Amino acid sequence: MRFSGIKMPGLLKGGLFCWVVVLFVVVFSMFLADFLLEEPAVPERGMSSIPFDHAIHGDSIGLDCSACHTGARASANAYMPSMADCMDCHRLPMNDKLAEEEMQVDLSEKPWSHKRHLPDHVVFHHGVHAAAGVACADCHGTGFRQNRYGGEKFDMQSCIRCHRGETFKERGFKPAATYCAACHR
Amino acid sequence: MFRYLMLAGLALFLPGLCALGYSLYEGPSAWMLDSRTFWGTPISLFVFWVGLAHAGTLLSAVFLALDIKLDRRTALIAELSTLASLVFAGIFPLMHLGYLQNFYMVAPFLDARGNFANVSSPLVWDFCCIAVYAILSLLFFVMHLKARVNPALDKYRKPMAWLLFPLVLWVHTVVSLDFATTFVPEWRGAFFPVYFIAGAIFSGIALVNLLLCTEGYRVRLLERLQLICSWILCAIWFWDFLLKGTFFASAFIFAGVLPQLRLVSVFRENRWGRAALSVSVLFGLFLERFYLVSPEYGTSSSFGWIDLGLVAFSVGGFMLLFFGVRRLLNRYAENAGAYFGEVDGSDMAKVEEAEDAERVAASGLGVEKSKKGFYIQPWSSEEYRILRFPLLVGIAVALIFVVWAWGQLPFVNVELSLANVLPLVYPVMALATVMTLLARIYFVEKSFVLHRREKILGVAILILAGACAGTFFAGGASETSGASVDVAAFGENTNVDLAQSALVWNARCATCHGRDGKFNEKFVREYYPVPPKLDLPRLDSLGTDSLVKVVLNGRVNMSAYANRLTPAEAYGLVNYMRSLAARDSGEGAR
Amino acid sequence: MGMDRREFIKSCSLVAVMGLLYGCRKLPLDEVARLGDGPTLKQFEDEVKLAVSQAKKQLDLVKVSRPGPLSIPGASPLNRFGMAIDLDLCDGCGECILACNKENNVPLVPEDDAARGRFMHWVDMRSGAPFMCAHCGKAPCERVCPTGAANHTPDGLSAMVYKRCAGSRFCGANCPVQARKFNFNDAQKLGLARKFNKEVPLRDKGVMEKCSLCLHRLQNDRLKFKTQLSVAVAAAGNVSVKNAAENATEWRGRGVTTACSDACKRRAIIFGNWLDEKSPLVQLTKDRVLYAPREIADLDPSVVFMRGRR
Repeated sequence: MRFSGIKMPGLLKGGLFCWVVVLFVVVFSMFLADFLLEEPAVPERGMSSIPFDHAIHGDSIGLDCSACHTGARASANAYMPSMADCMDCHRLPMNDKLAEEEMQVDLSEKPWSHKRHLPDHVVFHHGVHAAAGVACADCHGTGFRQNRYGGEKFDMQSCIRCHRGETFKERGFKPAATYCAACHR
Repeated sequence: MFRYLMLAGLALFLPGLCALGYSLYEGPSAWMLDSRTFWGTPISLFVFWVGLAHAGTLLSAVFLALDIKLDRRTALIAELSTLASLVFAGIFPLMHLGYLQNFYMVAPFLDARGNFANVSSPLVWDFCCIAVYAILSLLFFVMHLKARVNPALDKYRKPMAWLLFPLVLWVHTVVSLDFATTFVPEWRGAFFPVYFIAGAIFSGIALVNLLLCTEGYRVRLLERLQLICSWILCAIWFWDFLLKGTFFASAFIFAGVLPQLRLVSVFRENRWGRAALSVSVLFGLFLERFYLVSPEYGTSSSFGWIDLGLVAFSVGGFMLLFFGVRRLLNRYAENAGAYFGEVDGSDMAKVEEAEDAERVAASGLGVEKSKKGFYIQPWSSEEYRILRFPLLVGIAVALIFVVWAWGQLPFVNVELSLANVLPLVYPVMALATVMTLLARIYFVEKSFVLHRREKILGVAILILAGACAGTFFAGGASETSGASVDVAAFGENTNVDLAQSALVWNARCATCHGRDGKFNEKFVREYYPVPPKLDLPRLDSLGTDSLVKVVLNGRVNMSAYANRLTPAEAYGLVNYMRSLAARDSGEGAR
Repeated sequence: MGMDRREFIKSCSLVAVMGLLYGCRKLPLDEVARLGDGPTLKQFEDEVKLAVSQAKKQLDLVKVSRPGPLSIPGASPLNRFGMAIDLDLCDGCGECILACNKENNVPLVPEDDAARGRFMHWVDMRSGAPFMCAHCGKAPCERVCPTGAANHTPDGLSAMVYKRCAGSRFCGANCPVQARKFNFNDAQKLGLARKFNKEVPLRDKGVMEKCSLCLHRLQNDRLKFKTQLSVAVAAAGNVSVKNAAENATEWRGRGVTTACSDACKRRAIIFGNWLDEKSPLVQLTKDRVLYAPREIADLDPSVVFMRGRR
């Protein structure tokens, strides 16, 4: 089909009418743009800037994650440790004095806190997952051992696949709830 | 003529466009909404336009399928009006949504999260049926245009018409189910599908008659049909009145009484008179749709500027689109004088002559035409042979889809019912059949060649469709809460039983004291002086109160937890410690 | 189309100015929106008073039998949460509405909507008693929801997934008692929403909402219960913990209440589990006559009214 032989309508050649058309189109496109661009930004997750060596505390001493993230096996939030939690150990005679000095210097950073990346309408309970036998590393990976913590990507897809029993088959988890209101509110 | 109609359309369309933009920005509170049903102007307009969209396929496909003679120009006009109406029938349900970004969730389409639409909802059936209807109508129209250039394609039109004929009825039945399956008293009733189909055909025919007036000729058959439809609809309204006592006086006058003026020759023989009758029917049916969707109109809500703007948007947009394309199509419609049906006042004879001439011409090309008087020759007809294989493919695809969709119910607790998926069967089948038919034309038909531009367009459409599917598959992302997570909240737990204390123990104490109340050997021996063993006699001698004080205030190497535990939690911990020690000593005794 | 250079530059500059205006126009508007600190509690109280004084809708109650196990597939045989509202005790004070608004972050509505009686309150006053979504066992709203945003939990709640809602309002049209509320306004942007309770998300413009039967409280309790249970089972040798676990190895939602039932001074709203003999709901409705609105009496409602003794 070729339409090139068709003449353009005379109204597009200029004049007042043309400006009226432009005005209407601009108004409409502004409304449209408002509507389309109001979307919330996609969550971004960068590396954490907290100067803390997970490798020293975890593997070499044998501390469980829940020793500092006290909620990791008990409550919905895993929690970040407070200064007092650190000082439980660091006030005692220890092998590594340097760490203690470093802690005293860098007080402004503590107690450490960071932003939650869980949307408001999602329920995630760390305790119930730990209780079901899910290891921290199953979701958080082992990256934090090399201090590359904070780079995990969580989405509903990975949640629901495990809940349906499609992933982690070798771990033999019990089947989990898949109805919407189990995790959404 | 077309140019002025187009400009008139533009004059209506532009303010309407602003109304549309404002409605999208402001959301559903911008237009008139029924306070009880939450539905309003866009849905009435949707039902109205989807009814008009039945004209084309009904007239073209159904008449073609039944071998009723209709000249090519009327058929083209009808098909074009279908497409133009469908554009607006598609826009209104979308703008009706409160959260338009999620519109794709209505499609029965599995996304990456495993979410599937709720196929028991009539809205899902609606979405599928209208989407398929739009695609097939477009293909039917393009095929018609192509067949005009390449007569070898003409033999594929009839098989497509056979597929579209049931689809028309199917689509409007499903639209009526949107209403009929609800609990709104005014909408309930098993006769709704018949009612809706009758109304749709009536309005569709009125639209084609109106458009024929702009072309300057008439088809008596359609005018008679319009009159008959008005009688059918009046009968249905009477029935509705007897059942529920609802009666729309203005709709009855415009769409029931005024069309009877066709019996008066002054109106019948005058072009303007015919146009006025058609407009009256359209207006009456619009009012009827409007009252139907908003049963509480007048009591709690009223028509505003935005609603008028939306009406202007659709009417103006339709005129712009229809007459714009109509202008472009002049060379398809006007270069074969013999085709142009009856001019005002003539009869059907010319059409028959044209058809005969066409048959003679076609026989030279080797296209067999069925004998006059034998409309249906089911198993030996050309249509059947063309349609046989695609139809098998279509049925197979539809069966697979239904079984698959049936297993994809969104939740474990949705009632499994085949009836939920059945409304999707025919559209899926028709789509698959037509696609197979097109593939067959593309690969088998020697005379069928695509221009380069058309190929590029086809590829672009495919890429666009793929991109849309991919975007919908991935789904959106949610904004994170942005709230800060910091230290464990103080005094969070008010009721402390042993199970809760066990959790606190494991979190706070187990690092040194061990989960089982024995020491965490590795940690304690490496970094701490070994504390005295906490067995049952020692705990008993220390007493609960002093142990709670130790937990809260600390002692030698034991840290103070006063700011991190409530006294209740500390008591709970001591109790738990005692229960651990008791178990220990019990095991030792055994 | 011919276009000389002058005209071209003119058009370009016009487009640029339009673009600039478009880009900047939001800054002052956003500042205005941020000025307010959100509505005060007083405003919420006033709105509830207005709603109570405006309430005109009447309920046509008919007798119903006691809600039993749900008939939907996959339903839990142990739990079906619901409420009973004691019409003999209720004096229609409206405290439950305010408590609900604070618990669930229900936003205010603009004045013209309030004048028309279009409130967002999940609890209405009808016939002088609180009325909310009845969480019907055969919920008509869920059947017509195209996206599945309205759905049933195995525990008998009619739940909403706000992020899945496309705002078709089909559920609202199909609710015989109009218990559903539609977010016509962007309450956050208009400064009409206040987050009293961080457990409950604020809803976006264009989605449906309704009484959730304090779903978040049930969720939290269930998760806590399951966590504690597994700890108790892990310490299996521990006699006392084991005993505590044996009391309930299945979650029955004991001890959970809704905000409205907490707030009711006359204890007219009773929340509980219809299938749990120990639940206050079952115990307090034992010798009572139960009623439900006529329109939904056949739909197996979980929230019922009670009046008089048997």
